[in-house]
Amino acid sequence: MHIQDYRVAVFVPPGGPRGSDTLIRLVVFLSFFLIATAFDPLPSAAQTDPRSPTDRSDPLKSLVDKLNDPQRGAALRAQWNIDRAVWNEPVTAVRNGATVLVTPAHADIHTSIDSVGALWSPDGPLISAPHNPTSARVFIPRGYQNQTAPKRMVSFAPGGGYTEYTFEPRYAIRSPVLRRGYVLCVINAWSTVATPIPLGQWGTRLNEVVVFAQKMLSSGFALPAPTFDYAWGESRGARMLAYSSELSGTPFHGVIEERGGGDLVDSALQQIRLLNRSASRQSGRRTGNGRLHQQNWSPHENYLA
Amino acid sequence: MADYISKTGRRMKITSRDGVSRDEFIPIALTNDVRSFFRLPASAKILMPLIPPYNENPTTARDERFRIPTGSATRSGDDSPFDSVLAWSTGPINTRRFLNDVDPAYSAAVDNGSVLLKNWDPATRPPDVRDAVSRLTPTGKIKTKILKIHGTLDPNIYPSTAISYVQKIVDQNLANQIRWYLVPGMGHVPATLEETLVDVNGKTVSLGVQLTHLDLLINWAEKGSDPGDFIGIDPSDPTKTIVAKGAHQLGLQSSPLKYFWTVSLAIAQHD
Repeated sequence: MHIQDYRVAVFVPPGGPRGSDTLIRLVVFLSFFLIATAFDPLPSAAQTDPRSPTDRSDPLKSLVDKLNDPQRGAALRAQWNIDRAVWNEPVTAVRNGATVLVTPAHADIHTSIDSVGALWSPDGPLISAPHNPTSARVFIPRGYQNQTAPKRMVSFAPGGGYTEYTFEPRYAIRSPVLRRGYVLCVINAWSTVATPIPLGQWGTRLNEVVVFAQKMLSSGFALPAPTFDYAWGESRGARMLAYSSELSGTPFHGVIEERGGGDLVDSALQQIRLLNRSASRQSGRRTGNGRLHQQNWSPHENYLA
Repeated sequence: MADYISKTGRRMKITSRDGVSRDEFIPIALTNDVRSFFRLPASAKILMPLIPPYNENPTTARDERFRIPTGSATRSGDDSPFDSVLAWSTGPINTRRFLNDVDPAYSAAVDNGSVLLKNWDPATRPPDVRDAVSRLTPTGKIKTKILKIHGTLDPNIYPSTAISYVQKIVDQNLANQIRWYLVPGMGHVPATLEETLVDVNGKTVSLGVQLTHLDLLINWAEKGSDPGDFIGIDPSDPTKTIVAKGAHQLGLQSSPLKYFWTVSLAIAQHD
C-alpha cells in the first residue's frame, strides 16, 4: 500500500493563506509523515537488539504472516511461486553470563522458477528435488531493509546430493551469513542421478533462479535489492558456478568455487582412462577382458538405484 | 615406501557438523590388497594428489564397502562416509551421467552390454557428441571474479583438474580475475573452520563456519583489495586453522601447475 492511495483534504480560507499557513503546512506535512509511517512497511524502526524477540509489527514478520494467509498472500505466492514461508525467531546461547547471538531472526522463504514445484501446501514444503529442479530457499535477516548500504546477497550451491533443505548441518553457513546481515539464497544442487536438468543447463538455471530471487526481494517484497551479489559453491555446486561464471549477464560480482569447478569433463575423462588402466592391470591377474568393470559401472550392479 | 592411504587417513580426519569426529575417507582396517594398491615409493609422495581413485583396484571395485547399499537411491550417509564419497563422487555416477548427456546412444549400449565404457573415446564419436562435450568444457572466459579453494589431497576432484581449469582462465588472459588457493593436505571437505561455543548448560552450540574466503572475495570485488592469506581448516587438526598462500601471493598466478608443485613440495618437506 502506498502513500498515493490516500488523499488528504486541506481547507484553505478564500483569499489564500494567511498567518496560519505555516501551521497548515506543518499539519499537512505531519499528516503525510504519519500516513507514510503507518502504511509503508519499509521505514519501520529497526529493533536495536538482534537477540530480542521480534516485534509484532516487524515488516518482515508481517510479510511472512501475509504469505501464510490463505487470502491475503495468494497473489504474492502465485506471482513468485512461493510454496513455503516461515518466520524464525533469534537463536541465542548463554556463555560466561553473556547472551550470544547465534542466528538472527529471519524469514525463510522457498521459491521456484518451475511452476510444477510451486504448489502451495499449508503443511509444509514440497521437497524440491527431483521434481522441482530449480528452486531456492531465501533467508532474509530481520532488519535487512534498514541496513546502511551496501546490501549483499550470498547464493549458496551445496555439494552433490544436498538440496536447499538438506544443506544443514553439513554446511553450517546460515548463522554466520545472517549475522552479517546478508540475504542467503540456497539453491538446489541438482542430483546427477534423478535430475531432469541437462548438465548444460546448470549455469543458466543457477543464474535464473538467483535473478528470480533478487526480483522477488525487490519487486515482490518491496525490499531493497542487493547492492552486491556473491555466490559460493561447494563441490558440485562449484561445478555449476564454473558454468554460471562464463555466461554473459552473470548476476554475481564474485564467486567462491570450493573443491570443484570447471572439472566435470576432465573428471569424466579421467574415469574413462582409469577403466583402461584398470583393465590392463586385470588382464595380467584376472579376467583379462575388462568385463568386470563394465559390470561394475552398470546400474544393475547397484551403483545406480 | 610410504603408505599413503594410511597417512592421508590421519590427515583427513575431520569433525563433522554434528560434532562427531571421524575419518572421512579411510577404512580402519585395510586389506592387504588395498595396502598393496596404495603403497607407493616415497619419491612419489608429491604425486599423490594425482593418483587415480580407489576403484582402479579390482579388489576394491568389487568390495561392498565401495558401493551404494542395495536399493538405496540416496547417499549411503555419513555413517559410511568412505562408501558415499567414493561411490558418488569418484565413482561412476558422475561419469555415467556425463555420458548420458553427451552420448546417450553409447550410454545405452554400455547398459545393454554391447560396448564397454572404457572404450568410449570422444575423438571417435560423431560430431554431435563432440559438440556436446565441447559445450560442457569450460572455455576459461569468465565473466566475474572467482576465488577458488582446493585441497592438495582431494581424492574426489583431483587437483589436476583444478590446474587445468585455472590454466584455461590464464590462457584467456584473465588471470587477474581469479585468485586460487591450494590448501596443503586438505581432502574433499569444506575448507573453513566451524566455530562453536559451550553454553551455560555445557552444550556445544555451532556458530557456523568462518567466512574467511567470503571476506576475501568481498574486499576484492568491492574495494579492489587483492586477497591475502586464506585461513582454512587444518586437515591434521580440525579444531585449528592453517594459513594458505594464494598463487598470486607466491608470484605464480599465471603458472598453476608450478603453484601446485610448490605447495606439494612444501608439504613433503614439512613431513
